[in-house]
Amino acid sequence: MQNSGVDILFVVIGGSAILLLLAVAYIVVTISSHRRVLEAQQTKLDEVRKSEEKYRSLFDNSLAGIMKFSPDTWTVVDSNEAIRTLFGCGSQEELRGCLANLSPSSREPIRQSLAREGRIAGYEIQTTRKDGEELWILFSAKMMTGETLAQAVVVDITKRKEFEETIREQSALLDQTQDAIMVVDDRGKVTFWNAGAELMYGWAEGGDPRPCDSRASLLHVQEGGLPGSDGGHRPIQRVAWGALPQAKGWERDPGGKPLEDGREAGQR
Amino acid sequence: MKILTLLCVLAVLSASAELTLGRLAVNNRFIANNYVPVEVLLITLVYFFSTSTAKYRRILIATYALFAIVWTVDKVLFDVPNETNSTMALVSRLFLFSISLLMISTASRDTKTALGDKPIFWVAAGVLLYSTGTFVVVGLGNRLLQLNVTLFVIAWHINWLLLIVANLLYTKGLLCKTQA
Repeated sequence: MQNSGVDILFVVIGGSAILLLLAVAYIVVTISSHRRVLEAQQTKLDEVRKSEEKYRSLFDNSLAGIMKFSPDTWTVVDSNEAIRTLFGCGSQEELRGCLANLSPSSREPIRQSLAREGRIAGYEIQTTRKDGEELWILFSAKMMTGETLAQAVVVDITKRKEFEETIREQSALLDQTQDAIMVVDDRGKVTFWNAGAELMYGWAEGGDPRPCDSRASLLHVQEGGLPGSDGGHRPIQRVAWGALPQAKGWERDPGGKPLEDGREAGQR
Repeated sequence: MKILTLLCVLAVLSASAELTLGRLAVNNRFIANNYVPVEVLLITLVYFFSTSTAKYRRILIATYALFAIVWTVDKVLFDVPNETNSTMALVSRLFLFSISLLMISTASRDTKTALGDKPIFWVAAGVLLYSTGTFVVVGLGNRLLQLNVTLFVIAWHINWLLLIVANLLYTKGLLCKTQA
């Protein structure tokens, strides 16, 4: 009886120890595998964080204004310093106010293009800064994959617009004069040809610079001694294409249009 | 966590009452027999409130309902007065073992927090260790008691030891940073 009791005691202690060991092993394995998962997750998280910091830095330090916004409500979700500076805003809330100043006629094409094509590029908008100063921006945006938000890059082109305006004005002024004025680039191509030059050389400017015929005319006129080698000015003659000296390497622009017969030099 | 505190208090009270009655040579087995469903209920409630997943909650409710039915049937039909109900003790440990495994597995799936920071992990680990460690003791306790009381007392130390371990783990759960 006593032996039987001791045997059962051993069974109890042994059985309990085995079960307990199994339970402890299960707990230890669970903790260890969970820790490994957490470490792997942490490593990935660190990588993502580093990558995020890298791109965040690119975003924050970009000289072009970048923002994330909703094309439907024009709510700015994220913006960098450059775009806030561009609009003269100190915070994202102020930027929201500045974007609210954009006219519906400016916003609508952007919204439509983003909805239709998912992107818009090089859209010029005239608006104002926070202080009311005139601002021209070049707006490009693209819808973000799987989101209702779009990412926009905004560049300040106010100065460029001012230059363009100045050039336009100067160009208009140049057209007013009766003198023939032309601009020739380093390859000998005429890039600008004013109304005086059209009249003087007999070739009309057709909108796009058409350098070949103009050059040809110029050459021919020069060969004819236009400035007057004897000190005087010789009369300007209209030049026909067929008479141009091809041997000198000038190419004829097929779009070149000679002035109509009957038009006199000096007449506009 | 209030339920866990209540469980700890009741565990201490039950053990103290058993000890006192044992010292007074009064049969104390009814305490252990009746404490079983209370202990299982409280642990199930701790698990129930620690998980927000509806699926696990349903499993806990269904398993406890099954346990309650088995316990009631056993109490009504097979209860032997003044004797340790080893059958129900075994069933309760099996039940606690199963739901503790479920809870540890659930806790380990959530990788937002370290396992050691989750109170439920420590509670489930305590219950798991106690229910597996005492499984054989309660299963063969009556048989051992019939053969030799001294040997039974030696074997019963496993129960005390594991009860202390389980309560220490519950306390660790209570002191965890992230409280459920």
